[in-house]
Amino acid sequence: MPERTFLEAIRSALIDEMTTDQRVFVLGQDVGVKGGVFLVTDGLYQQFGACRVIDMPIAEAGIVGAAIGAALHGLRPVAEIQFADYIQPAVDQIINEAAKLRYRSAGDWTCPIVVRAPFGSGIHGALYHSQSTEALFTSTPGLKVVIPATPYDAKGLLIAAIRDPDPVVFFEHKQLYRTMRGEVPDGCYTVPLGTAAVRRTGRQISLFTYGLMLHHSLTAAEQVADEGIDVEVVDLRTLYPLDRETILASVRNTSKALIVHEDNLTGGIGGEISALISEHAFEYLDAPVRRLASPDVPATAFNEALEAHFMLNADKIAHALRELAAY
Amino acid sequence: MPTELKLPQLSESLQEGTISRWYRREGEYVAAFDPLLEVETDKVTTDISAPASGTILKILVPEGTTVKVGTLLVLIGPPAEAASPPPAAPTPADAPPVPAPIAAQPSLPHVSPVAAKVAAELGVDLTQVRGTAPGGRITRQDVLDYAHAQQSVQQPAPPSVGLAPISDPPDTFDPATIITPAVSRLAAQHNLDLRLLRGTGRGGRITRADVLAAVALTPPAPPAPVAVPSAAPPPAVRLAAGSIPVTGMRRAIAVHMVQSVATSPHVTTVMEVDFSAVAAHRRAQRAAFAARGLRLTYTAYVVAVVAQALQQHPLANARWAETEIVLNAAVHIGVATALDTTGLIVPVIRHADELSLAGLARQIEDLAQRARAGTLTPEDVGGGTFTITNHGTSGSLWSTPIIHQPQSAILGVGVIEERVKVIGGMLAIRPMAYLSLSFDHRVLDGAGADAFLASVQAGLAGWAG
Repeated sequence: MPERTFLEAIRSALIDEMTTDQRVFVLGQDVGVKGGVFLVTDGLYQQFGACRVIDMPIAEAGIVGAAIGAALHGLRPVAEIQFADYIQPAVDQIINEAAKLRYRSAGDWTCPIVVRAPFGSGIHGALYHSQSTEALFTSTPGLKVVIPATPYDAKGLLIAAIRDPDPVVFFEHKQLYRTMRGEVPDGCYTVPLGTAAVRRTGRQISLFTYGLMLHHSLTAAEQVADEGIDVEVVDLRTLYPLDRETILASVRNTSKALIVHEDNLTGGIGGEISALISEHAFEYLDAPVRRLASPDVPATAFNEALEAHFMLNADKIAHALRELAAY
Repeated sequence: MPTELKLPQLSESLQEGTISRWYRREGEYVAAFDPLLEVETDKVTTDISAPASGTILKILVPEGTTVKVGTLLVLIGPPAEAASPPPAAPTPADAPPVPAPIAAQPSLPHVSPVAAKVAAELGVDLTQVRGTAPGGRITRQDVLDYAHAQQSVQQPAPPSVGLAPISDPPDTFDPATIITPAVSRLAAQHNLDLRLLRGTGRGGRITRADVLAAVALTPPAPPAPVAVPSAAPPPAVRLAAGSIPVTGMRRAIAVHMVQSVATSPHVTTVMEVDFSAVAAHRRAQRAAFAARGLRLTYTAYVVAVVAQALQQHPLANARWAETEIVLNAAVHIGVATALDTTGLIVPVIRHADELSLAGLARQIEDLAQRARAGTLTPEDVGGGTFTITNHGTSGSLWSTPIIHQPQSAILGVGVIEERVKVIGGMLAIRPMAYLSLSFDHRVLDGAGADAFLASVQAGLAGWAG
């Protein structure tokens, strides 16, 4: 099986699905001639032509609005927002239009669009190139919010998202693009949306996370394993809707839960998971549910030292695991 | 040389503007960046700030006049009288507390927007601040340093953003006493006494792992108390909707219970009693009683002791009659007897205080048999002055029995089972039971009821034949 980077896995998903399904096309700022600011769509313009790889103006509402219109005409658009930080102008289109179309038309219409956006900090991107904006969408029925953590999942989840009849917001951690490699099959395959994956089994603490933080969490779990702390690491993969069964089954098994995300503490998906556990696994808890997240500050700092302070890493996660284990 | 202010190009399309208001008059002091005049255009009304600190030497365009972009509006220069401090300005930012500039420094110093903003907030005259950045640019720190040197202001704390971190309050309780839901659930599931465990968690907390370890070490315990009487296992019945006709007995019980609860303020008091002496006596006498055709039950002992105690505590053998409390001369003790599932009946042992243990045993046996056979007469079930119910026969520990009206009290006897007791500083295993006394609070108070119950307790514990 060929090895690909996270970025190449996404490109592979686009090429394979565009080859398989003539309805699929990509649109976004600089996705065509330039091949995308991260070069995710590099080569697509040459391979599929300007009609299926469309450079759009810097107008995110227009990018998503055009995607919605195309979807209603039977196409399968994959829109790229250059940075998740810039998704705000398109929020109205995504939440008020795309997410509600099926409901609004009593099921007569669906809105099969995918909105891809790189997110996350750690690349010295500061305010406008570092945000985690997933929580904007994880309280919107009608949407699916997907965040892959491995190259294999990136391809399989993206193809599943394109084939899904409803709108999917697909966040890609930009730090994973070129640092994460893994085996990725040629050709089309899917990873089902709405299912979490247990990446490491353990008996003492359940750790729920996604995206880049999965890899820091797995490293942290290895660190504390030597100290006799047995951690189960669950990759959420889809943040909305959450895979409740997997989450609750894990907590009932371990009795302690830590949720790790790069998104801010307040309003992040960790609060929802914590509430879910409190409501449905209260009798199984042997410690308070803990969250480890980025501090509630407006944005990642540009200053390198402050950025490091803002970002979570394996050491911080290991520390939280030790505290929870000691409870 | 005075600073000139001309009407600036406020927007791309602006050709002219009307001076709608001057905030300062000629001769007044104005600080740099303070609003100086209001300009009205075809699109907006906006303030224009003073380009430099100083005295307004000459206003060239009066209010209400429309002029073209670039028209000279005002001249600002060094104060005419340097000694007199400027008057307070009627604008949000107060005029600076420092004297007006001594040396003429009419042109605006090189200053970043944030330094200007801080200077305005602190009332600092920027012409007095020495810039330390390249080219003499005034930084925010320069403004703050200057303000600090003037010691009229303190550096403001940076605005707090977001939520303050929550720190858990220091534990005011012993962490070892925390029982988490998981521990509680597992302990109940495995019938485990948490007091016997030593916690290994933070501060000695009993963890889930501690419970699981203890469970792994403990052999499976019999699930139910040993003293449950032999009873046929309940037939497997499938639940089905339906109705059961209310028989005369069921209706009588229902009416009596409702009436009793509505009539008497019930209070239940519970004591524990050691049945060792009774058990020993019963063991010793059982064969002899059997030889006389008598079945010696614990009930006989309880009736015997209660009959004696009632004589010492007549209020427990009385009834409320609104204007008086009627004390019963006789002691007629009813013994509630269950009739399968159909109901219960309370045959009465007359003059129980006058019967020996053997006599009581015979009466109890006879009444119970006739109750089950359905051959009791109205005399057999009427006229009781006190009632005993042996709810312990169905495994019950203690209960809150309902008084058999018009009596003043009812005694419930719980299951007799071996329990660990501390006696004289030693652990002992004794056959114990709870006695539950429900009493009519109109007739008896807690102290009187407890005194009666204590007599029963003492009589049983100290049974000497």
